[in-house]
Amino acid sequence: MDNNPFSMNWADNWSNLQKKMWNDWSNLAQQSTPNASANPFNFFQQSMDDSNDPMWSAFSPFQVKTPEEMARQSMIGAMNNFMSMSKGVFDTFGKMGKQGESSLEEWTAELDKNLKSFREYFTSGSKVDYNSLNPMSAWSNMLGNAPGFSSEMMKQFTEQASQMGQMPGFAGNASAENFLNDTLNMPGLGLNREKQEKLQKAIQLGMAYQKVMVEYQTIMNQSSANAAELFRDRLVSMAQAGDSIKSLRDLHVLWVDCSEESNANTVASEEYKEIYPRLTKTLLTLQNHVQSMTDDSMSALGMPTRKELNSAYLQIHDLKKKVRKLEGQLKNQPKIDLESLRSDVEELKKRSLAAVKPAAKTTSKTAAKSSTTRAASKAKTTAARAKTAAKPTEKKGE
Amino acid sequence: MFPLNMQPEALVEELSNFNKKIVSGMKTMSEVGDISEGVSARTKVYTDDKLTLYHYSPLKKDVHRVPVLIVYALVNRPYMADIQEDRSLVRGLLNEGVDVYLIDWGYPDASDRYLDLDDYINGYIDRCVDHICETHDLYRINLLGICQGGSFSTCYAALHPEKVRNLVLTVTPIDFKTPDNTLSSWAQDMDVDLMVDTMGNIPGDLLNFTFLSMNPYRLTSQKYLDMVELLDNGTKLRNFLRMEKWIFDSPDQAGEAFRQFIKGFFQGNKLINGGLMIGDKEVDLKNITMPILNVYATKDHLVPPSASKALDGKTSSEDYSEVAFKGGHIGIFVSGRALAEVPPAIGGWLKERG
Repeated sequence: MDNNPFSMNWADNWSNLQKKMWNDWSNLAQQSTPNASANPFNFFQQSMDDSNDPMWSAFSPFQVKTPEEMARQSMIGAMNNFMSMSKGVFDTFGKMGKQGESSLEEWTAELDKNLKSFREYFTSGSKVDYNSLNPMSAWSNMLGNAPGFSSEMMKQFTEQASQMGQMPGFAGNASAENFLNDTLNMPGLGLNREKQEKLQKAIQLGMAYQKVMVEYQTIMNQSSANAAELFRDRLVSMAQAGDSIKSLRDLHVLWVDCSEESNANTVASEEYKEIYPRLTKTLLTLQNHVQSMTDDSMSALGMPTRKELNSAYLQIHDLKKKVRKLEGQLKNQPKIDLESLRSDVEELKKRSLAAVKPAAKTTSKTAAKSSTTRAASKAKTTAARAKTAAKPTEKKGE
Repeated sequence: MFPLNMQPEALVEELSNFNKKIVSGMKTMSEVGDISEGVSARTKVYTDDKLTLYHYSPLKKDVHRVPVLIVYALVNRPYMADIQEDRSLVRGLLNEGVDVYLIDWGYPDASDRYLDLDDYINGYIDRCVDHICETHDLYRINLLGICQGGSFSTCYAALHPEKVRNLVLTVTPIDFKTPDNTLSSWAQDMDVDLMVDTMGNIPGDLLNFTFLSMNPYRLTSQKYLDMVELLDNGTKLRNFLRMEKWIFDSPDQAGEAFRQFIKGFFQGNKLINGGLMIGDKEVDLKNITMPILNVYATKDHLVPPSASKALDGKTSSEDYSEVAFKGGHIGIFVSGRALAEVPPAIGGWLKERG
């Protein structure tokens, strides 16, 4: 083995060994793990996934379902990040000569010389997709992974917009961009004019999203670069203080600390506060437009649209609210003793009938009235009793 | 001095041990079995749409006569308050002789997208309170709000003060615009109308990931490396996985309620500044006259202490107390120290007030 622990050969061998171990384990695990249903955390897995990496490909049959599986998946992601970071360190520091042979000044100069590649490793060149851990990634994954037709359309339009943005002579060329925008602003003609205009609008919205996404990504890349600077400064400070890192794990902890610090500064910045809502807005505007196009398609197929379903949900909600309100009113109504009322009515009927019988002709109207009044009075008393009964009783203590 | 003092032999050993732990840990993980949602015995006593009201079986003979209703946030699931035997706020309260009820909001689906804050606060919470009052033949009960559930409880106490005997708030945001509130700074310029109109209900995973994004490297990478150290201990691993399940068990948010919460609380900061309408009634904190216990966590990165402490002096209560717990937003419920400090503090405070 090379005496230099940062030898690139050593690091490559180690990395290959790790991958072999994972592949073997993965094959074993596949034999015992049944295929699971749809993964609700695809975004998480995707953020870690790299289809070009044989190690990750080997794990792709796993579908996260239970907490154990998810934790295992996340752990594997963390392992991969850890391994990649370690290899990045080896790649960088392996070029710097053997440890202990340089003075602090020489070592710092070497570090600065190599920092560029180190920084690139942790921003764009790395398989560790740290940028996917940012909130915006969650937004786009959440909308992109939405089930149904619209997610495919979303992908189509964002890809289309992205391709347009990368056309030769287009990227960064304002006049070319304006030309494309003008073209897409041209009114549609004929039978399909509405559909055509909606399509043009979708592409424009896709382009707007891509444009802001590039701005956002630039900020996040800067954050990663700042983390690399912090990492460098911490190492230099440690060297000055006579401290040293003795394990890869400690090195990883240091890297995470630096990344968190840089991320905290970034997300607290005015720049971030401005771009975050702007980016979510462009993404949601695109999704909203695509949703309306999906509704058109669903309608043409004779299927219920999102708009129709929402309308039905709103009506149900409003009706439930009215029912609740009525229930509340009923609950607060005094309870009426229907049986008593019925018997009172029967009594009144009997007395009324008795009052009009021929044999009772001589009976004075006053008597009948008096009788009726008594019955009515009894009914009133019953109702009042019922009302009293409905009042809250004195409760214990409170 | 070269700051990376790593010897090849030591590195090989480190990696070798690391791999061994992972491989043997996979076996432990496969043997973990089902992860429970809460550990204390409870009974379903009332349901209302997707909501379930649970009553926990008392652990003491002498139960406090006025029960406590725990109102949890709509974000994540309420079993965090009862996550494991030795990490349970519920169990801690039961041990203090408190009679505990808890609202489980359930999982809203597309048909619930028009549920608003009026439905939650003047509807669901109020009906639960009524149910408990009727069961115990009481006019008023105690409310214990957690996080967003604390904000809801505060609103409820202001709107229905006659039904709340004591108000306990834990890690509850009251002032949503303190300068140290990162979450709030992200929400200020968010076009929530567009968001809800586009998405309907707000996916719980999206919110969850947003919370994780506040410490992305630590919570999505370092944490799992640390987990490797637990892999050879089944109990510790199970506890880790319980928490893991809770973190990612995120119900979607009913769209209209989310819209109103972001606009009224985060963007308008109307709970503390006034003008917050729930249904057709305004929430006036001055209507809150009952005793208040405000428990906050000194290292809370989601609800900074300043956001909770802002309640002091804003109500008409003449009996206002605070408890500062040295920990984080979740640690206040699940750390061993929290269990020793928080439930006794709440139980004692409630007992003193009858």
